[in-house]
Amino acid sequence: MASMLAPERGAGIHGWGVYIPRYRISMAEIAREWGWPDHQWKALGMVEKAVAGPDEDSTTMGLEASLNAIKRAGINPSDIGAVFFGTESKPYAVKPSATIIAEAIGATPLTMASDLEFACRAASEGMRASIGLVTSGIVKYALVVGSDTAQANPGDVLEFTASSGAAAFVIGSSQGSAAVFEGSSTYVTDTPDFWRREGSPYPRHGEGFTGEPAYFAHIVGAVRSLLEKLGLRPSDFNHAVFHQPNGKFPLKVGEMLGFKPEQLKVGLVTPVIGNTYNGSALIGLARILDYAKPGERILVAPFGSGAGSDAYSLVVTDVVEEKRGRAPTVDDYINDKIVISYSLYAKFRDLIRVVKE
Amino acid sequence: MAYITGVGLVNVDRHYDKGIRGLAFEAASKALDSSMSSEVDFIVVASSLSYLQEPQLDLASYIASSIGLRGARSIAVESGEASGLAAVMTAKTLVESGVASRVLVVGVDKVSDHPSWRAYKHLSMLYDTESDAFYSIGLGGVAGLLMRLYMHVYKVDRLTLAYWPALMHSNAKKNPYAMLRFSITPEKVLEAPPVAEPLTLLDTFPLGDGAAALVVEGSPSRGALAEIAAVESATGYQSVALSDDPLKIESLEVAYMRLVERTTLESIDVVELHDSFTIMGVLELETLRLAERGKAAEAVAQGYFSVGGGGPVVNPSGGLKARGHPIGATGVYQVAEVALQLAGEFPGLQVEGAKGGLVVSLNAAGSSSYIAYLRSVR
Repeated sequence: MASMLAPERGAGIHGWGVYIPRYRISMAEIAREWGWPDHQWKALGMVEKAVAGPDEDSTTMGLEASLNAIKRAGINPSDIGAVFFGTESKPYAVKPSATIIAEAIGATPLTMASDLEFACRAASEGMRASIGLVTSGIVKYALVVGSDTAQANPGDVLEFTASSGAAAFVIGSSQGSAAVFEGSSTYVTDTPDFWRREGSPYPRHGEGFTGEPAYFAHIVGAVRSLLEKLGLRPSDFNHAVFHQPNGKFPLKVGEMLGFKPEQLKVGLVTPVIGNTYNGSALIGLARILDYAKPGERILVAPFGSGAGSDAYSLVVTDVVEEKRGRAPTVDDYINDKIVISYSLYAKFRDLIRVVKE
Repeated sequence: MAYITGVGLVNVDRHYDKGIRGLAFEAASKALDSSMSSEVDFIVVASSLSYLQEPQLDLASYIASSIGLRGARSIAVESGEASGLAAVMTAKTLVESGVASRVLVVGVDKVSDHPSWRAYKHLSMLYDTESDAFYSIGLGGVAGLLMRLYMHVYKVDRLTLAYWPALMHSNAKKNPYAMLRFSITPEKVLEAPPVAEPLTLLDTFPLGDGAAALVVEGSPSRGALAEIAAVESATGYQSVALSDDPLKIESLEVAYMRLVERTTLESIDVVELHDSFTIMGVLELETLRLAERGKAAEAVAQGYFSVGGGGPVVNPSGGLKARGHPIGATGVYQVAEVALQLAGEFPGLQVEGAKGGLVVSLNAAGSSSYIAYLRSVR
């Protein structure tokens, strides 16, 4: 069988970790502020979204997630030879954020470190690159971090979902890993569905164009390519997690591909934390690893506007269970919450312009 | 005499993968195939937003070369939302004057290449740019004012007016060229987000791209689908604020009187109206005296304009509300649909045994109105 020879099989996930800020704002609160009718957010399948505090940004959240991932991996951080930081909300336009994380975890100085940009799938591209670095023997471990404090123009429908959160994964040899990669596929085209121009504070989107020609076409393209490559069918997977910009799109793309809602249930976190952009599908993957049984197969398909999608197949190993208790789970973060008002949210997200003399 | 010998329709939708050239080519090819002709003397292009949205001027040559008919005589007609029917009027004049014996009419418009705020900014230019559009009253704003006035003057409740969009959605379900092919209830119309109170989102047309084409001939060698018995028009105010009686579409009334003078309307079995908003459909029914003033909404709610309802069947295509409204192309869709009805070949809700039909197309709230009467030839 050709899939037995897939080079991805030499790599696996050694540690996973997330960080979700404690603050939440409800959809009803945002709708009340802007005068949206309730069905506007109900149609998105959303309840609440996570809001980063005033002292948090994509690097602080990315670091928290990385520390959790390293705890689960149980490795010496100096063995990490590559740090990939995927974000679309980095605090510095010029100056790497990956070095902040690499330094803070103790991976510097003998490591690669770079920021990746591809809307919501930058970290996922880092994951596929990490598989290559690890299986080729160039590095022992690679750290992939997806973290965002997603921006949305106040009053735009995007504001219902754009949230904050991070996920991190330590990728290493399949030996001793909690989940082994079986294969991967990437599907990209030049599709301008969502963008932010230089100097513009908030992203713009092509409304309906973000759906069929972008999100759906690319995820379907990546997943079908993977299934064909591996000779697998949707029913061969115990879990599937797709990029989740809202609560509805992942269910719809799952249905289009032939997955059942039960397969998507564990990985679907956006309804209660919002779309964490680079963390979106990856926090879902982390939650699946929090629950999955050894031998279960997982499909992961992040998506980034612009546009592209990756699809990965992973098989969970026996090691998963001993790693779980070493760090807080996704649910620990989901349940630890403080619900805030729109005015506090506006203050935390720097939406109120304060003139400092 | 002018006859329709071929029609070509593209389903109204957000055609992200096609430009106006591709859409026009698809419709024109289908129309030429269905009329079994490959040569035409003249092309009349109908489009309104393309000048702003593409943006492209000289659409006459642009579309002619796009559909592989470079060298043909061509002229473009722009009359806002009524461009399509204005183009049909031009085609009829061309064949009846003897200038041409076979004319291809191509209507095309595309709105989904821009974010909706920009599309609506362009659409606001259908109104007087020094008054209504300048003050950003917008399409929905004018229709909302008319709807409120209608409810106040005639003591009609909002739910009664919600039967119009529900009927349009029901009619569109079987139309393969319609954009919105699902049912809605009148109650759902009231629950939809307000656009300009009391008008809600479900009282309005969806933004969609489309192209439609017709072959018009003076003396067809083969069988025709229908005869274009007469087309008439009149201009009105560009702003409803200037109208003496905003609940009567003055330009349509004049165009209709001119039409009746020009031809005998033996039988009106099917009508395709310009229901850009619920209130426009209702006011048109009353202006055409198909319903008493203040009574059209109630008649719609009681099923008078549905199949088997006693009156002519109104908008079996689903109308602008549900078939969709690719602005400058819409009038061409309407004429093609009525021609297919009269030939007994409409692929959606077919009005059995239809002998005659009206097409009404207007710009804005009636800054110009066009009306056509089509007659069966079978």
